[in-house]
Amino acid sequence: MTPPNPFDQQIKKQLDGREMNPPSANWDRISKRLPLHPLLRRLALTLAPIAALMAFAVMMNWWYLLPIKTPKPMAQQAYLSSTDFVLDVSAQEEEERIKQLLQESREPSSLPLPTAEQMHEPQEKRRGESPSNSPQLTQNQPKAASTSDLRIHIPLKLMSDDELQQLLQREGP
Amino acid sequence: MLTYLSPSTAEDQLIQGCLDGRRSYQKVLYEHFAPKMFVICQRYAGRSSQAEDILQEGFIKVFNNLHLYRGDGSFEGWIKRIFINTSIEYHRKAIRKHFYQELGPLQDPGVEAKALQNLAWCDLLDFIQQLPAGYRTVFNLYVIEGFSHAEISELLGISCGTSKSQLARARYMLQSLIKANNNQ
Repeated sequence: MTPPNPFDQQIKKQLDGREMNPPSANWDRISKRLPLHPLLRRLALTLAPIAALMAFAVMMNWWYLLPIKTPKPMAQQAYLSSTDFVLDVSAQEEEERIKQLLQESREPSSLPLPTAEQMHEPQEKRRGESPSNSPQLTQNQPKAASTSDLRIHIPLKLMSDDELQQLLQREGP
Repeated sequence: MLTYLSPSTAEDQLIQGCLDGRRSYQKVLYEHFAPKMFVICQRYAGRSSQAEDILQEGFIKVFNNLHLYRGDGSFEGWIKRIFINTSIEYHRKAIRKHFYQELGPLQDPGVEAKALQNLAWCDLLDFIQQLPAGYRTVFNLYVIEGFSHAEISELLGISCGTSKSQLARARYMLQSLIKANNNQ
């Protein structure tokens, strides 16, 4: 057994039982890395599968599983927010009317045209007819097209240059 | 609350509170042992910042392994052992590197006992930190912790001869530093 070294003994005596305060921020760093309180941990363990399931459902677009309304597309949302969403009724009616006119011009009427006699019948007589015939007839009769309607129906591609010039002269610049 | 109880009861309560995961108890334990353990970390570390890292790692290990404490020995001794092991693990690579350094012949620098007595402990700690990691570890384990060369060789995975030579060179270097400081 070797005798204790006096230098070693002196060093040990100098350093034994000494204390030094670490920086105060050390505890904060340690506490952040420590596990949660058991109750919190249990709660987290309970909620984690639910959260995971919800995340998965959202990922898979299973909207019907969740009480979430399907969000409107961005463009639609932007449009709704930028306008008051008040429909221009007159414009819509106009559009409907144009569509109807176009359809009527393409499809020939299936009903027979009125005969010459019928055409020359006085209006008073026609008014006295049963209501089952007259509305059908009036509905299917081609309406008198206004100048604005004509403009739509003229196929410009099929017009020759002379015809186009004439039309422009007639309509004005 | 804990100051009015007997030390063992207070310690038991503290341990139980920490085992229950109560943050306030964990903080009390940290505040009680951190100053003592920080000196240990400083002795094994090369720099103060490393000592802080070791202190953090050590306390995380203490809190995570508290359920393994059986109460056979002193609680402070158990914590101290964790900090020593953490320090060795932290410097393991550096320690092994310094074991294989080429060393020149040693001469006794001849430090007077009075010079050592006049030295402030903080300065002594600073000199120990200046030692290479291998010297520093063996010196701390042998001189301060009281480990035998056989235990040190087992702990560090080196031979007893290496442990002895490292201790001799650590002493020599430390004496040279103290002497140089005394001559200034």
